[in-house]
Amino acid sequence: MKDANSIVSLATPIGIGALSIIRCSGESVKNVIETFFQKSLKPRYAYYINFKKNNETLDDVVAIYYKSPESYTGEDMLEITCHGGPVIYQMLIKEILTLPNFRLAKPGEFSERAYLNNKISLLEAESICALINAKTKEAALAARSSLSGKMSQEIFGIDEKLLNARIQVEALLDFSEEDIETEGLFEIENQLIDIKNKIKNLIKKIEKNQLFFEVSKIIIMGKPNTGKSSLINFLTQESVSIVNKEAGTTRDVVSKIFNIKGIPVIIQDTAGIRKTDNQIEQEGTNKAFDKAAESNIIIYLYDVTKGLQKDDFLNIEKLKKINTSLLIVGNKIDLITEKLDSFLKDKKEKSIYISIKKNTNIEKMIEKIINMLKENINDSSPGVMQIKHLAFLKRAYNDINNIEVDLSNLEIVAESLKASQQNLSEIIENEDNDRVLSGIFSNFCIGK
Amino acid sequence: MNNYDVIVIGGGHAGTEASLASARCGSKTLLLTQSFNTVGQMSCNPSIGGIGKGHLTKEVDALGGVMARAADTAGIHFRTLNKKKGPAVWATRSQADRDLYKFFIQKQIKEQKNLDVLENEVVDIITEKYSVSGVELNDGTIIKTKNIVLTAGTFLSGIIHIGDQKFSAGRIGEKASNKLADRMRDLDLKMGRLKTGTPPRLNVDSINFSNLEEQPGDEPRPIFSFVGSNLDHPKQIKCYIARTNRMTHDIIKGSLNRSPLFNGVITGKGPRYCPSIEDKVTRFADKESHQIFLEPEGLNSKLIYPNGISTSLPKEDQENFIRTIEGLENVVIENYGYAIEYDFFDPRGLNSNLENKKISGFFMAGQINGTTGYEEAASQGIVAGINASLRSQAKEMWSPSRENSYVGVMIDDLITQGATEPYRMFTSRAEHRLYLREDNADKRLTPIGWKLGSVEEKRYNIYNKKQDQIDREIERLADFKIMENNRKITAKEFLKRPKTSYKDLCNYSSDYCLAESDIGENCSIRIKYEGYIKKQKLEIIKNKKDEEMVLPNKMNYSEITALSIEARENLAMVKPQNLRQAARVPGVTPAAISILKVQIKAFQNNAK
Repeated sequence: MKDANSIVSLATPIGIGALSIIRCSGESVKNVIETFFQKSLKPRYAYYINFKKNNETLDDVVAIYYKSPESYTGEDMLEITCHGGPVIYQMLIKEILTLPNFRLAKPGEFSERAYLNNKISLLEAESICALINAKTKEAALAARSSLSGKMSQEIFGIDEKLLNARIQVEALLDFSEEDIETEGLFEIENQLIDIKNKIKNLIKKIEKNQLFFEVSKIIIMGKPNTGKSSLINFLTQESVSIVNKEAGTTRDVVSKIFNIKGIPVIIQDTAGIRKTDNQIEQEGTNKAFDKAAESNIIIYLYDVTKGLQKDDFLNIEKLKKINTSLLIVGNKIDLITEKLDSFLKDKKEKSIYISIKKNTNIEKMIEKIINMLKENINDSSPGVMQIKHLAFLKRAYNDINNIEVDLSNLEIVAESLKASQQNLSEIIENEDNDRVLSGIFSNFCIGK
Repeated sequence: MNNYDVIVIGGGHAGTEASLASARCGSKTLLLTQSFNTVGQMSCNPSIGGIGKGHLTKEVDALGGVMARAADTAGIHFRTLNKKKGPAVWATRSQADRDLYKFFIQKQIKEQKNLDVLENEVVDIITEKYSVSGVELNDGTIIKTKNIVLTAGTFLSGIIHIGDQKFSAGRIGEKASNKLADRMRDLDLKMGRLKTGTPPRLNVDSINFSNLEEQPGDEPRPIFSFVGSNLDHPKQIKCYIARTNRMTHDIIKGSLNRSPLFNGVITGKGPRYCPSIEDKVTRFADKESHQIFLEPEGLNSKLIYPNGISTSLPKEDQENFIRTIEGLENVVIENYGYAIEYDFFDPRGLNSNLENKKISGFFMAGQINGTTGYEEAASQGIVAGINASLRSQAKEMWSPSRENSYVGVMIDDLITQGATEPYRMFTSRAEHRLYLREDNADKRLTPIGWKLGSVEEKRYNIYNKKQDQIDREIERLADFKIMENNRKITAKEFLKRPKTSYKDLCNYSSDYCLAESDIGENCSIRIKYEGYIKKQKLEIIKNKKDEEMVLPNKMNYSEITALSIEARENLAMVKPQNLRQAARVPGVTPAAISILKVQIKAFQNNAK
């Protein structure tokens, strides 16, 4: 709800560490405790407790309740420490948001409330403002990165369509005396159906992908027999959860989901890249490059005993153009008998040298991967943004669902379209009250 | 010369409502006009109301104003626009007999207690330490007052254009107030220039109506005033619709270089809509024909007002293009159309009570605030008049809100966004359109007007009786069961559905249809929108909270570096009174509102 005054947000950066902390503040905090813990918590005591939806335990958490005014914000507050990883905290935040009077916190809002409730001294006004700004920028970035280019294009498209429908309807309401030629009610109704379907499809798409949204993608590439499959098996040995074999030929990309130190990743195996006249093999190679473009990190594996060869360099050049997060890894270092230093001289590409077989330098490589992932993931969680987008899309849909386009209730149609567009604006920040009037004046000849 | 509590300058729609309201509220009031004979004059089209404008007219009425009663008394053709749509956008419109309208307004002014009229020209507004202290007249007389309402319309440095002719005037045949305009420049208020236009007036006997489309008024006739009746209405007449054609457009296009609106002579800003026929044929060149409403100016008048062809073309071009129109082949033009440019004051310099932010006791209303239209002017006038009076009595002033009225929407728009074109009311400007209806304007505003003193006892009693009847009837409808398809439902549930009306209840049994028809209709409208209006309540509560967060006048926005430069500049210019207004200032984002909240708190802490 836009006007809700109780807020929830993730207090810890995502992915890093084994735990995440969810923070709630406001008068409806008690409702969270009652609903999900089904008992009352004594203020300032840590409870190890199950977070339950009805009777199903979603996670075992540590919860601390702070009673107003003895809390950071000065309001009733609840801190829930849950297991790390976006899947868990997204699920819990989503549940909390189903309660009335709850919404996601605005950037910097906990600090803002603390300040407004005299919990932080007056010297800090400037720093609070700076924080709000910084967090707003961060959130904007996160919002942008949480919408794929295609998806935001779709939302902008729906927004355009809604605007056009509103221009038609509002013109009929405000200027029925002018002799204007609108597209007519039948056309408006068709537009409405089209808009509804588009929003519905978008909701479906997001819902389908939601849990995996924040999962980073790592793709492993390289020529045949460089150890790609061994690397994947090595990395995922303990935690393979899903094996997904995409439809197609045997030369397609195979992916597995697991997590590296709490960060969920999809790791994708590709067929060995080699020059070939075989059409099917070539298709597999092309597909691998497409996937590489979409991935967060590319690991390019080669056999150190053979070194980087001409076609390796060609591949690396090509990959660098489509994705800058490239990690070059030389495998089979255990097979090198001569002195390593002299062997590594004059290498053009900076690599990490490992041996999967002997478990050499694997930790170092994982550390490097994690650092690259961290750079890839914004501090503000796109996953939380995704919850917000979904909520507003659903509202935008409900606003215009069950609306009958008829002259006799055209003002209701107008209000519904407006509400729907306002909800979309919460996602794409495209609110401009004057757009409708401007649209009317440029489309229709309105006299005095 | 005697002192006055309130002096109103200007006798147009804003000035008459302002002076009457001030006097009703109990202040000794003086109305200053160049000529009493022009008081209440409809200087442009002879009609009142329309979509959005009808809403404003009813709000003026609900606050005790005269516009609606004048329109009832003078109305010679009534319609309810948008009648096929839902009641929230139903809008009353009438053609008015100019003389009857003016006569009614002048009579009200003559009869109003506490109100004097003086015919003279004001040449100076006298201020002391940024407070109003009096006015100076043309003959050097000084009248003392602490409260002035300026409603100068288009009179401040007005220039009329007809083709390449141009001359200084307030309206056609009336002189502009140039001395006052010069003096106003000294006050260093931000000003701008706007333009508007009017069509030629046609001689009724020279028009051949036989092939023109007739437009009769509605029966039963709608009534403007909550205390009016259709017995107030004079004889009714018909209007006609004529249409321009290709030839008309060709002539206009051929003479555009002689139109001051187009050849660069007029620099004032015009609106995005199309006020002149020159605009229409150039901006919408594909449109083959534009409609013209032929509106009689009165029962005894020989003049027809052709609504839809306002123009500033030279006289001979006006004649040439009009005579291409079917029915107007031999038309005689009695007065030529003209464009007028005039000064207006940036309304961002006003508080929501229409008092100037810089000069205490100086109120402004109407066209000088950048609006267009009688109804827009009148509704500002009544707000300014009430507040000038309240201020003279050292009482708390009143600001209408976006939640309770269209006049609140308009004033908030003006003071937060300024006027980039003549501001005209549209229902789409209101967030709470389903609540801001014509039928409940009295429920929204009459109790407020009663408290403020602008509503007289007689009206308040009528109002109370009506609300009482509605409340009781709604209670009765909630209990009454009717059988429908073998299912019992309450009459209230029945009325909640789309396309049902109170009259439909009579089909079930005459018992269900007890109340008088207008009471019944009021009930059914209220029931219909109940659910939608409840939904908006939360937002209204939030807005109220933001309204209570007052932004200190001394806030130095240029120092708040956390705000964007655009937000800082606009906030410094607008100086919003509270967070609610600030949120509507261009460039102020939700994050900027958070920052302003923190800054208000810091300001308060520092002040301690």
